[in-house]
Amino acid sequence: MGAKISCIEYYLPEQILDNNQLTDEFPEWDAAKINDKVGIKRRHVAAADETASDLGYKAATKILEGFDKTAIDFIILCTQSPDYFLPASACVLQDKLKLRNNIGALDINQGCSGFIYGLAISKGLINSNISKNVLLVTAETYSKHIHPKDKSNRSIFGDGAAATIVSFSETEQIHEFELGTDGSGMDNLIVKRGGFRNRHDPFEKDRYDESGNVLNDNNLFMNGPNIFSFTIEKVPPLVDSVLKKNGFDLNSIDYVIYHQANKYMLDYLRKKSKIPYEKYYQNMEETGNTVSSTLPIALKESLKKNIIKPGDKVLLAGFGVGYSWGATIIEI
Amino acid sequence: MKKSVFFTELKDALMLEDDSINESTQVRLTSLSTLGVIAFIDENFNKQVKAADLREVKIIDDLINLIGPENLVA
Repeated sequence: MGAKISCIEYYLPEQILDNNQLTDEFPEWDAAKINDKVGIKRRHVAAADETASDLGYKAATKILEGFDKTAIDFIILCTQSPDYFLPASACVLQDKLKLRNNIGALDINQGCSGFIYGLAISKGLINSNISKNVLLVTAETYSKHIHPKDKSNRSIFGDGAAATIVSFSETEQIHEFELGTDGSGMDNLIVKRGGFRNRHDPFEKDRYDESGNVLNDNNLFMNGPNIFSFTIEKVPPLVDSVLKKNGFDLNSIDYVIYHQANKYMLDYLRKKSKIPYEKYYQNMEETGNTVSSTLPIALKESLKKNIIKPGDKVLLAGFGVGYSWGATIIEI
Repeated sequence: MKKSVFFTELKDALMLEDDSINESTQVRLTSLSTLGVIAFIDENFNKQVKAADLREVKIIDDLINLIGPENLVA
């Protein structure tokens, strides 16, 4: 007995920001270079009155068109852009989706590793007989955290949400996990103000980094080079250890999907872990880095395009803000 | 690594359009070329550098000192 991913759907907000628009806004920014190095042509941006839970609602509505909503007995929302400090946005979603009242609902605050953590918790709930069908929603609107004059982060991140149903299965289709945390890296990807440690400060002054991006502690800050160094150090051993833990090697894996951070980083990580190009799936050109939703969106797209097929073993790895990282192997 | 190969490959990592580079060539790191240099040093010298290590790099010679001149041969 075990758990499996039954289905995945996703939703992207209507408004699109493409590379030409970014170049119009930042003439020194070269659209072709962005696409070549970062691997992103377009990203979707939530409307001013559209929150992460709204995006999550749309993704969940889509998935529940093909799944009996009365069978959902737990909802998890992974987001770092919640509607409120309290209540949990998962409770808001439970009501909006008209899910049963006798179910569990909770938010998890994770970013790029969030889908892996959500899968780990869902598998735990199912294997401990607490749930049979977990609705795992990943939803993010980093655009609301990013300063409008921060061209680097606006080029990378896109808004979006995914809904995944993790269900009881006669055989285990979500294998062992490898999870990791190093909170000493917290300053390298952070929204410093807005919580209770440092309250939002409307008088906080803008600063500039060496690339001309505007920084402000009320907004998202990412030290890209340090995040890159962190992934170089942690991701290849993460891939090795999750394979070892499951008794597999790369030959027995059909596909590897990384959190879709940016093309430059992923190309290097793929090379370093010696993952053959034909076993590697990348999907960020039309969405950008949607944080916790990149993995389910990539999975859904690969299934839709018949690249990853039923029966395939897929290694999933997420890594980023925290620092936090995690990997598992699933069978489709 | 041979110094000539080092210069050729570093030029790509730095995304420089100059025909050739040498020890005294100035380095102006952008966010992308910083990633390029971090990857280049990791791949070729198995050394993990951070953004702070690169902050003081002004010319190629500063990078050579960071890598360790003993790792390059004529």
